Parts: sequence; C-alpha cells; structure tokens
Amino acid sequence: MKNVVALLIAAPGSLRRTEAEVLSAARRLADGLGGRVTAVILGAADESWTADAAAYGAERVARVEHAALGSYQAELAVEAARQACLALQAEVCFVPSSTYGLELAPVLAQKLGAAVVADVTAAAGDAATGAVKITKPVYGGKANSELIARQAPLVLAMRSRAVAPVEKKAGAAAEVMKLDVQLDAALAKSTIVERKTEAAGGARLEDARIIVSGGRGLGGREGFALLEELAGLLGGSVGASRAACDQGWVPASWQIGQTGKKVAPELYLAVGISGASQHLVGIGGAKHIVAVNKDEKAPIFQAAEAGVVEDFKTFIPALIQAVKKHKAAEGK
Amino acid sequence: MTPTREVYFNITHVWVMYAILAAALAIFAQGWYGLWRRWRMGQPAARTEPVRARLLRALRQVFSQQTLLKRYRAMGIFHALFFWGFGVLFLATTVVFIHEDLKIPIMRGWFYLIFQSLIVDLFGAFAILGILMAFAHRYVYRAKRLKPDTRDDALMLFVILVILTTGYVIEGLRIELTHDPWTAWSPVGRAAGALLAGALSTEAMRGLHRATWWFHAAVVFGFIAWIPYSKLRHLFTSPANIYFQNLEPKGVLQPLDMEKAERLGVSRLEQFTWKDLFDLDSCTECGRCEVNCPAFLTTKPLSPKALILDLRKYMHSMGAGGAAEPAASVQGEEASPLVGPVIREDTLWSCTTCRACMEQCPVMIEQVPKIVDMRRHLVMERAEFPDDLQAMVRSLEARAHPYPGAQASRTDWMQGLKLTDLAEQPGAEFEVLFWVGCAGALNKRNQEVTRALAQVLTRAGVKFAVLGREERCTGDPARRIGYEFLFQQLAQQNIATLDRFKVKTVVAACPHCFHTLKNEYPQLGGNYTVLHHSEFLEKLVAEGRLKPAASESGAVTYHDPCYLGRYNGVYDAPRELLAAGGGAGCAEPEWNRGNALCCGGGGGFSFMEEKSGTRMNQNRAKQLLATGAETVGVACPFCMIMLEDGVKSVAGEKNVQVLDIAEVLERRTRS
Amino acid sequence: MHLVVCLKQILDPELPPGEFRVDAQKKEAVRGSASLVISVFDENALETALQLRDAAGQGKITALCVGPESAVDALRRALSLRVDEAIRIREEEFPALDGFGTARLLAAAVRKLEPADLVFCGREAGDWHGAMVGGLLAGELQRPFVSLVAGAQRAGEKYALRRQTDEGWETVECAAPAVVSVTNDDANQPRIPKVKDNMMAFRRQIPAWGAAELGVAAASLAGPNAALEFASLYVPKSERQCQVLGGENAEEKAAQMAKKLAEIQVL
Repeated sequence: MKNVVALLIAAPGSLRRTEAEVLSAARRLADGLGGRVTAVILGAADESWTADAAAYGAERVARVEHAALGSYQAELAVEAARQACLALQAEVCFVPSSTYGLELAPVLAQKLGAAVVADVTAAAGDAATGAVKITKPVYGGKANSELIARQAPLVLAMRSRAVAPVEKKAGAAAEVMKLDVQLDAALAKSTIVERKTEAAGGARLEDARIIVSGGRGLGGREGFALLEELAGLLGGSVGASRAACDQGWVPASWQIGQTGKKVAPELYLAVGISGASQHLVGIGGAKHIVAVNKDEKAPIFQAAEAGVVEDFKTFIPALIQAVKKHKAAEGK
Repeated sequence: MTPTREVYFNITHVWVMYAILAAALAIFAQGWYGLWRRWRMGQPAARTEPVRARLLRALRQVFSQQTLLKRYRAMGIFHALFFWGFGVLFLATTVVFIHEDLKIPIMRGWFYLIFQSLIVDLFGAFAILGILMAFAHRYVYRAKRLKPDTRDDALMLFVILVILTTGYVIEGLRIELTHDPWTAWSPVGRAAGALLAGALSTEAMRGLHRATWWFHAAVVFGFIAWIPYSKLRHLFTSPANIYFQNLEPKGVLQPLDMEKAERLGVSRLEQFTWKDLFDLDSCTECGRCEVNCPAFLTTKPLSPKALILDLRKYMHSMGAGGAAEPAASVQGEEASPLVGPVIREDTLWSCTTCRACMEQCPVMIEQVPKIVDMRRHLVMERAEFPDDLQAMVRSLEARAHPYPGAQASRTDWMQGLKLTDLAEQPGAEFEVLFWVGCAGALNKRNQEVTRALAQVLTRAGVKFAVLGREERCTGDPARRIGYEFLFQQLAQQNIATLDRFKVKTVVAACPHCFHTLKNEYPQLGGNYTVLHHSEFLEKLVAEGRLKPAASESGAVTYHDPCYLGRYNGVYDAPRELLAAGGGAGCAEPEWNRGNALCCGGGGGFSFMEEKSGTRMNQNRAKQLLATGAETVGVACPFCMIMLEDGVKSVAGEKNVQVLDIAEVLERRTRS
Repeated sequence: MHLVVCLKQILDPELPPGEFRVDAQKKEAVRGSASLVISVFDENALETALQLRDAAGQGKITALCVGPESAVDALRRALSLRVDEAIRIREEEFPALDGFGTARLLAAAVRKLEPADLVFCGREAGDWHGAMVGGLLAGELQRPFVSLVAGAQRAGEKYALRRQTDEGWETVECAAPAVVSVTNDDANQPRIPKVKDNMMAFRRQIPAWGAAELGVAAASLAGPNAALEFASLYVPKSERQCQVLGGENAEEKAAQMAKKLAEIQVL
C-alpha cells in the first residue's frame, strides 16, 4: 500500500487541529510505507487549506468543489468521497475524527469495499510488506488490540488528539488539482435544519490549553461553580467525566473520555474524578495531568504526574486563593 | 353513723341530667362509629393476638407511664399527674354510678373516707397541677415541638381546668351546706368551702351550688361528646394503639409476595393496614417524633408529625368508602390520590429510616413503615427515584453493590492478609463467616476498618472465612428505598450462597447488613446466628481471647448507629469495648443510645446528595465534638463516611479522628 | 411507527481494572465473575426510542440482539422497559462475527420486520468500540444514517433528530426509513423498569432467529474487515509516578499546587 489519502471536510475559517491530525497521520503512515499523501478537500474550504495541507506534508492536494457540497450533507459527502477515492486509487484513506468524519467512515468503507477501523491510536506502515499495523484500544482503554492490514483499501479514523501534528513546513510545494465529481442533489436524504454552538465553560475543549475537569466526586452542580471560577482564573475551560454529565450536573458536550471529547491540553486538572479507564482514554493527549481526589488510591493518581489528596470543597477555594496570590506577586 | 353522703342533696330534676348525658353519649358514639368506619377501610393486619400478652404489656406500659417518665422528666410528671388524676376521678364517678344508679351502696364507710373522699380530693388537685404545668409548657415556655398552637388546644386545657375547679366548688359548697362531719378527709374541698363560706350567705351558697352543679355536668357531658371529634380521642386510642403495638423485632419491614401481590406499596389510603389508619387517630400531636428527627432538624421537607397529621386530615376528609379519584395531575394506571397530592415525594425521600420518631413516640405510632410503603409505590409501581438513587439501583442490579463507578473489587482489601476466601476455597473449614459488606469492601476508608477487623479476629484465633466475590449486597438499601423486588432477589441469592457454604454463624461489620441478615432474612428462609462485630469482639474480650491494652489517646466518644442501637438494642457492647483495658472510657454525647441523632446515612441517604436544608452529618458531628473527645468511635461504615466528612467540616483546627471500634481494638491489641 | 433497537450484551465495562484480564490466545477479555450488561449506548438508544414512542403516544418497538443464549437477559431488560417484541439472533450459528457481519445479520432481521421506520443503534459498543455497525447497517439497508443522536421527535412526516457535533448540537431532519446511532446525554439516561413490567418480561418467550429464519448463510457474512489480521490483545502497562503534593492543610497543599502549575508554565 502506497497511496494514502487524507480526507478533509471543509469548515469555515482556516485549517484546524482536527485536519492537521488527519494530514499528520497520513504523512507518518506514508513515510513508513514509502508512499505518498494526497489531501482531498471536500467542499469549499478557505484557499489557505491548500497551502496548509502541503505544509503538513501532502504531496498532492485535490480540491473537490461542487455546488452540492456547500455545507456538510451526509449522503452527498459520502458520494463525493467515494468518487474521489476511486479516482485517486486510494489505498488507505484517513477520515477526520469529527462527528462528520466518523459518520461518513463506515458508509464510505462499505461503498468502497474497504476494511474500516476507528478510534485508532497508531497506524504504522511497513515498506517491505506494504502492511499497516493498527493499534486500537478496546474495553474502555483497559486493553490494546493490534490489527494488521495487508490489503487495500482501508479506511482509518484516528482517535482525536491521539496524533501529535507533524512539523509544519511553510512554503512546501504540492501538486494541486481540481477533482470533478458527479453529484445528484436528490441523493440527499437528510437536512441539517439547525446548528447550535455550545461552548464548554470556556474555549472549545479540544482546543483548550488548560482544562479543569470534574467528576462524580463533585456531588452536584455547585461543585462545578467552583471549577468554573478556577478555570476562569487560569484562562481555561471546564470539562467533566461521564458520571457528572449523566447526572445532568453539566451538559453532555462537556464530557471527556472514551465516549466524549478527546482532549490534548497543556494542563488537565482532574478534580473528584476517580480515573476510570474510559475517562483516561480521553485525556491521553494531555501534556500534564494533575489530580485532586479525596481517595489517595484513586486510579487517576496513576495517570497523573502530580496530585493532592484532599476534599475538593476545601482545596479548590484554597487553590483559587493561592493562584490569586501568585498572580498578584507576578503583577508587581 | 356510717360515713357517706347524699349524692343529689341539693339537686332536683335529676332526669334532665340523664337526658343530657344520653344525648352526649349518642354524639360520642356517633363520632366513634365514623372513626371506626374509616379504620375499617384498611387492610388486614395481625395485631390483636395473643390477647393476654398484649393486654398485660399494654397495661404495664400505660399505667406506669414509663415512656414519658423515663425520657421527659418534667412533662412526664405532668402527664402522669394528669393521667392518674383523671383516672381516679373517672373511678370516683363510676363509684357514684354504682352507688346511686345501680343502688349498690358501696360509697360508705372507710372506702368512702379513704378513696371517695381523700384520694379523689388529692388526685383532683394533682390533675389541676398537671393542667397548670401544661399551660406553662405551652404558653409560657412555648415548647417548639407543640407548635402550632391551635384554638382547640387552648380550649381543651381550659375546659379541663373548668371541670376540675368547678368540681372543687361543688364539693366545698356541699361540705359547708351539709355540715359534713368528715371534712378532714377532703382537705382541698374543705378549703374551697371555707373560702366560699366566708364570702357568701347560706342561701347564696345553695343557689351557687345548684348552678355550678348543672354547669359542671353540662361541661363534662360536652367534653365527653367532644372526645371522638378532637385529639382528646387519644384518651382511648392511645392505650389501644399500645395494645396493637408491633411484637416482632424492631424495624423489620413486612415482605411483599412478589408473585401474588396485586399492588406494590401504598398509593391509596385504604391500602394501608387498619393499624396504620388507627395510628393516625392515636396521635396526640405531642411532637416528640420531631425532636430527634435528622431530617426535620436540618429543615428537610419531612416532619414525622406533619406526615401523620396530613394523613389523618386526609382520612377524615374522605368518606368512609375509600379514596377519592386521583387529582388530575397524576394520570394513568399508577395515579395516586395520596402519594404526591397528600404526601409529597420529596417528603418521602427525606427519611433516613433512623427510627428516632418511632423510638420517641409515646403511643407507638409507626412512621417508618408508612414511608417505606409509599416509597414502594413510587419505586415499584411508578419507577420514580431521585436521580442519585437511580445510579445506585442500576449498580445494585448489574453488580450487586450500590457503588456506581467503584474502581475497587470486593477482594482488594484482602491484599497481604492470609484469609479464607470461600469463593476461592469452597471446601475450607471455618466457624464464623465474616460478612464484610459493600461499604467495607469497596469504600476506601472502610476498607481499613475491614482490614483491622480481620486482623483482630486473626489475633483472637477465630477460624473465620469471607465470601469474597461471592458476597452480594444484602439488599438493605434496596429495601429501605422501597425496592422490595430487588431486595428479595439479592436476599435470595445471598441465602443460596450462605446455605451452599453451610454457614451457621455470621459476624457482620455493618449494622445495616447485620439487621437485614439477622431480622429480615428469616422472612425468606435464611436462618443464621448473626452478630454485629461489636458483640462478637466484646465476647472475645470477655473470654480473654483478646487482651486490649489501656487507651493511650485522649477522650473517646461513641456514636450509636441507628441500625445497631435503636433497631437492635446493642448499646453496651461497643461502649464496653471502648472502655476495655482501661483508659479514658467513653464520653457520652448529649444525645446517645435510643436518643442518638442519625448521622444521615441510612435509608438510601448514603447514596444521595442532601439537596435541601443543612447537613445531617454536621449536626451530629457538632454534638460529638461537644464532648471534647479527640476520637469519635463509630460502628457502622455509613456513619464512618458521614461523620468523617461531618467532623472534618465542623472541627476547624482541632484534630479529631473517627475510628471504628474494630480499629480502636486493633490498635490496643498490637503486641 | 415501528422502531427497531439493536442491543449488544457486553462484559460489564465497570469491571474494576484489578479484575480485568485478557485471554491472549482467544484474544478476548476473560469473563470471570463479571456481570454481562447491555452496552451503555445501546441503553441510551433504547431510551431514545422509548421517549419517541411516549411522545408520539403510539408505535411499536422491537429489540434485536445478536448474541449467545445469555443475551436473553438483555432482551428481557428491554421487554421490562415495554418494548413490544424482542428477538435474539443466534450468534452461535455465525462464528467470528465482525462489524460487517453483525450489520448484515441485523439488516436481514430488519428486512423481516419491515416496515421499520427508524433503526436505533448505540454509537459504539462498550467492549470493542468499533463504532461501525450503525453506518454499515444503514449501508446494507440503503438508508440514510445519522450519527450521535440524543433525541428524536416526529416532525410532520419526517423525524427531527437532535445530534451532538464537535461544536455543540444540530438538528437533522430525515424521512423514514433511516438508521441512527445514539450517544449519551442527560436527556436519554436509561429508565428503570416498573416491577410489574419486569415480572411480565420474565414470563415472555423470546424467539431466536438463526440462519434458517434469516435466510443468511454464515459464509456470506465475511466483509472487508475479515482480511484484517487480529495480531494481539494485551493490557498496557502504565508506570507513571505521581508526585504527591503534601502539606498540613488545604492552604499548604494549594500553595504547592500553585508552585507546580508555575513550574509547568501554565500559571
């Protein structure tokens, strides 16, 4: 397998971390396989995406622009992707680990007759055999599975925030092409009638530099008010474990873990989170994990580099004071 | 001359009195009939037999006035004075009836002098004293538990005072007018007579006597007629309710036959038993049930008194035929005119089932089973739970423990200890089964207690085993929240396991497990000798198998767990353990033993966040810290969780540790 | 309105890590004393379908489960929550099923159950996290697929599906028939059955469909993923040393923490 496609779905603005991860995963695999990367941009993305795709290592950038690809629509996007993959003779196709990418992956795979694996944490190529070794955590992160793909085609979705972007080479050249697809608007079976942005307590969790996150141990909404105060002070966002979201203390969109957001902040401060493996799965990309928990044996301390054993009710107000003090001292 | 007196010496047209009496009695009977028809709506309950044993017990409890005298010295004296005063006056009236109406002349001679004159004269005065104390209590000291004051309350006391004082006026006037030669036997009456004689002429006295006599009779008859229509009915219903009291072990909930039961729990008033309905009319509104209620004290939406009174008001408001149709807000097959419209859901979810109300109630009203009955309806018929409990229930269903998200396994605490785990060694020999409990196995702090207890048992050379991963929740939290179905499933599985390993004796480290295994498993065919670890350890110390050293730490106080103390009467064993080997002994908190305040962890509360009011655990922690103790001894894993938290939040700078008695003993038996 | 909900029975995902073991030969987790439960998102899917039916006031729900004999417990649970029918698909007749095979089996069952307006699946199973069956099933049935749905309502002839996106929420309108995958939200937390329904469910017979009933041969189920070699399954080791920030009280610990935050340059 040599022909690697990085499928990007157009979104307003410039290219984001999500797309950078797709390109980077494709670049790394292609390097292993001794192959090359074609970035396929579905829909009318900003012009800058072409150069950025090249900067992330795509040798070729194929822009698929069609009147029917204005904004994402599932059936049309799948059909466009299918035609692009066929036209480019894609052997491995990486899709974004976004809502749309993951929705499209199985349907696309089926249409292409491709094997499909999602939530992949590593995909390594072997140039000699042309095989791809896929690592995918299973059982809520308690185990890892390894799969070997020897046949094309293959559709892969990397786990969000599990891929560190490759170094960006500004000004890298790429072959740019326009790819025509035949789309019948009648294919569309669903319509998005309303879009609502619901930010977590701060920036988008996936992009947040600092995340203060709470779990079952907070015992209720009130605990999260404290976390929001702290996050505000640190310039971060607030996240939550599944237990806290299921209780309805905070919206489901704050959820971090296997089945929520995958995040990669500089600092992940886990408060009252025991650290079930399903949760740790979502914070594997965090650079520094720091935990606060009453229970010194909580598994979160095994994932954290530093921790405080204390009741959050007394600790967080004290930390808020300490941070204020620190800031005041710096301000002088 | 034989001492006696003429009954109607100054009264004519006595038949008028009999006519009024007949009318009063008719009203009286009509009132009782209405009440009786309402009680009869209830379901059957076996609360009448054995007659002899019940009667003897009830007579002893009623006539000794022991509950009140023991717990409430001042008010107990008032009530006893009142009770005995009225009792004697009632007897005296009966004597008059026998003497005058049945024409059996018994009111004469020494009997007349000693009983009918002296004793009656004095007890009347006692009753007046009692009534004055009651007035003072209600209107001078303004006891909180008696709130709200109603017009009826004031009127009742006033009417009784009028009856008693007019009685003395009549007696005094009679003494003066008849120149009674035996006045020495009626000191109060004589004094009243002398007072009046000083101010009035003979004719005036005669007229006053006649008027007062009729007035007195009319008020007495009015009072009699009023009895079934007011809380005065407790004169009869309270003693009867004591006769109908529960004779089973305390706190045992009645099982439901899941296969046959047509309905699960109580959603309409008439689904309560007749005894439950009778309870409502036995209430004297004394408010003692509120005094130790952890929910009421932390301003949660539950007052055991209001619960009973709301139910009573509802019962009286309805016809004797049964509940009206449900309010429009609740539709469908599970609609209830009772749960929701009359008793709010959050009221039911505020009870920790600590039994403080039942322990306090002088007339043995059973609040907790009623709450659980209504919870059963909510949980099993409507599948309505507070959110926190849903997670607990789902965990019980899927994993047979109530700790959702638990990261520990049931055997983690055993690491490094050499124990007999029957799940791993099914054929191993043992004498005693150590029932660890979910909290003891899965809660981090209580794992330490479990280890300490296992170590102490090992030191004493006890051949014990644990069930390891074969142990399941006893079902206590499910049963208390009303999920009888799940309780029975868990209990049956546990009974099968216990029987499979031929378990005879169980030592439980958790009072909730202990109570359920000991008193409730027999309902489902599980019969074992069950001991709480405090009882078992105390036995080991008494037998000399454990020799604790003297305490080195400072003062220790002890918190009685509800399910150990109030439910099972185990008060002394833990205290003796704390005192064993000498040392500071046990400093009692202000509320202790039967009056101990619940930590707030029972009845499912260990798995719920307190959403309203102040914190129950902090309330109790304050009482415990007030003893000045440096160590708080507990004997229950829920108390441990609640009080450690509570002590931490109210202790401030002071370093107070919460230890289970097993940990205290473990420290004192290290060699 | 006929709704079909696909359930999977899995090893309890809340099994404490200390008890979790894998069989490296068979390449699956060891059951041990762990319970079997309905995969969490499938419970959310069932709840979403129940809410849709509750709101519509009518409609039929059928629960499907590809699984061994033990899977009747999962289907009983669904029956106790008042689904109308529950059918087991005999997994034992179809060895080595992957996402493609499962999707084909479910598709065959759904065809037998037609008309089926909406087919609900969980977004992913709580054991293998494949997150594929919903989309593949839609492909097999040639129906539109909407993922990460947390609530469904009727909107005239169509259905309004509220679904999670990276930025928040969006509403997708889609006509039946369609396939949706469901994610968790506080709005679709699974309910607890009424005891009466629970007991009724225990008396129900649960039909099991195999190759004969579905008209599907085991050999025809292999999809492209059959070409992947399942090389290994192992429990990863994590040996991270946690630095405990000590102190006499919360204030001291907080000061330590502030220092740490400054060290890692987030403060």
